Amino acid sequence: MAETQHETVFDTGQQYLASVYAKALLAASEKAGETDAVLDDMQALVDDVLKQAVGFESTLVSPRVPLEAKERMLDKALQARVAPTLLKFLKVLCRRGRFDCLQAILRATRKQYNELRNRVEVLITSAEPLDAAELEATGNQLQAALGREVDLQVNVVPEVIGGLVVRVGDTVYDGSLANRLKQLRAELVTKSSHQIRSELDRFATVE
Amino acid sequence: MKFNADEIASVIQAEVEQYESQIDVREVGTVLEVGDGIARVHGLSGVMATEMVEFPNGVRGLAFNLEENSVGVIILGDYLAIEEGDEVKALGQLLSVPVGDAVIGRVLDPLGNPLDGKGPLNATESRVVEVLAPGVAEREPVAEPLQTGIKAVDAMTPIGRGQRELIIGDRKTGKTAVALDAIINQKGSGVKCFYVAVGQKDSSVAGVVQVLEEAGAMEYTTVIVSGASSPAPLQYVAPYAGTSMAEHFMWKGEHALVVYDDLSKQAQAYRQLSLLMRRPPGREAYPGDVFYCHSRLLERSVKLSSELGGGSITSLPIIETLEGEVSAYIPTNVISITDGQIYLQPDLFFAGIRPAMNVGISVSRVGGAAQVKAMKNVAGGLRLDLAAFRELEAFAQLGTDLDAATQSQLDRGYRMVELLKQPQYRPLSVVEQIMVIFAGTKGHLDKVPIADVQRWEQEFLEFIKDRRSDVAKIVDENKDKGDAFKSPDNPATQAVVEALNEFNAQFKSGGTDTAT
Repeated sequence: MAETQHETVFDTGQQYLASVYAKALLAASEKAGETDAVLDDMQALVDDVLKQAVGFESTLVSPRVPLEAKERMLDKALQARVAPTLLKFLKVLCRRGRFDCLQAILRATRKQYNELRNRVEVLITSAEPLDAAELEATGNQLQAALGREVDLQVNVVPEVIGGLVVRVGDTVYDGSLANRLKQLRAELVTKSSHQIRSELDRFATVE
Repeated sequence: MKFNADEIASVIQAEVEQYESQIDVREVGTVLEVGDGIARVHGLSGVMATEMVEFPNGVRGLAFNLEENSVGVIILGDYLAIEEGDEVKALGQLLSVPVGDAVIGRVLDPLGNPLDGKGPLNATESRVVEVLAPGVAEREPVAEPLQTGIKAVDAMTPIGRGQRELIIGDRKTGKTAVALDAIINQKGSGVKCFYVAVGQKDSSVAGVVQVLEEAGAMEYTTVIVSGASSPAPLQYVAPYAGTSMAEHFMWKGEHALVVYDDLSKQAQAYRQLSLLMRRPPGREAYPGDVFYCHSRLLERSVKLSSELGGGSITSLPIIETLEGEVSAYIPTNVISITDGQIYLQPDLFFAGIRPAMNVGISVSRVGGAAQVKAMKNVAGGLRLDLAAFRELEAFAQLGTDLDAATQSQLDRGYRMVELLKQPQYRPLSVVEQIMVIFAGTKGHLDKVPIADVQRWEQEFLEFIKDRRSDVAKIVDENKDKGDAFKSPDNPATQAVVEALNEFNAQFKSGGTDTAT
């Protein structure tokens, strides 16, 4: 959702492609029984490697680098560090010239994996980072409320001031202090102005 | 005026103490792109067609296109303040506007916000903007007249309550003037009027409001403005909003008159939206459902059955043609939807025939049943006579010698044309119209020089008002009787003939004096 790509970039073609590759990756990793490892490794690859070493990704995407060199590079960098299925999958991506879709594929795979496991992705926004105990408590409560296993993602936005904003799919449960203040303000303005208008004599005297 | 700060503070304190907040649950999406009055939104997976959505700065929008991966939203307000990445909230409501007595006499935008600087609108009720028109069982045939106060219209293309009569013509042919006269003439009749200005210059709308105010018509009129500078979504919504306000009165058993000025601009706004939303263009680049856009609007002009209170909405849609081209897409559409049209022509207008109505092709498909009976008897043959006169007139221009009968038919025609001229903003009552047209069709004007016909009319009406108001009273009493003016010995006929003779005896034709 929010963590990988700019939220508003929207490429229908790429999304469709990603969903096809995600389906294939998921099927292969389920067969090998290492889906969790594949997903974790892929996330780590995106977060820790590709974002740090920008050149690495552009090399793998570039059509000027021969395929053998790319595969050698992948082997050298990732062999025995990531799940074997993932490594094979990355090589397939290179061969097909679709390495640029990696982030979209990661998102699509995560989504499909959650559907497969009957889990639901939940984005929590808080003002300050939550510690492990708080996270677990929130997770358990959400699980009880939604009746499904949850995949928690945490986002820290100081503007929230306090409380939590929970987003499940397109529905937002907003219990943040910022939102309450906003509501209070709106209510005060409408109610007070209505009252002042209806009983003008009480509030103002004509001079 | 001095404000008491302590009192205000105490009210706010009381509100704060009472305030209870609940967790706010909302369905959201993210703006992907925005511009030209529309936005494309990702998310909002549960949003329904034409549901209202809200942008962070409080601007509202409507879900217009529901696509596989995104939602197309039309923005009803300032779209420049919306940015890519903004959160969009579904409101779970349909667009509605304030209705009721509070809107009467006001100038509003299509969302019901006041534009006249007369303070906020204290409306307690609201109505959904897009509703389906009442069905067959809920209607009744149009039978009650709606007087426009314009001789040519009331005599030849009568309009009934619940009718849709199109006013069509080129620019600057007096389309708005006809509609405004109709509004001004509703004074004292209890008909609520709604003037919907779409895509017009704000200066002309200001002029209209001033005219209505001077004529005392703003007391029962609401003006809904979506000017040329307002975004296309607002122009598109404006006619529906105006109709909703009128429907409120219709369902209360009252009568309303709605003027859409003009629907060609609304069609253009709708075309703009549809093209921006990438809906496929059809003829003249209008979307395929532009017919439905107008038909569902005009179907809401209805005469309700008496069980439902018998209220009605009469509408006068206006269409501007280009160079008299009535076979363009939008004019043909609206002509086929409406129950008749008043066709205004520039050549007539510049020849001084105002209202510049072309009698031959102007029709009213249902209004005849609703015409005042006496008027029907008096003006029944007028349309055909005038059409025959037009033919003769063209023939007479060749300079041939004419026999006496033809010459007298021509003379009568010239006088009728002269008599049907009417200055702007001066509507006549039915009784006055009946007497004047009776005089014309029965040959009581044949001795009056053509140049004096308008003065004759004016002086005759003054004469009736000042000296023979008893005649007007007799006509008023007999106007709804089927045999009024049918025979020479009818009491109404006798009274009017007598008054005409009396007046004609004293009328001095000034035309001969100036000629010599």
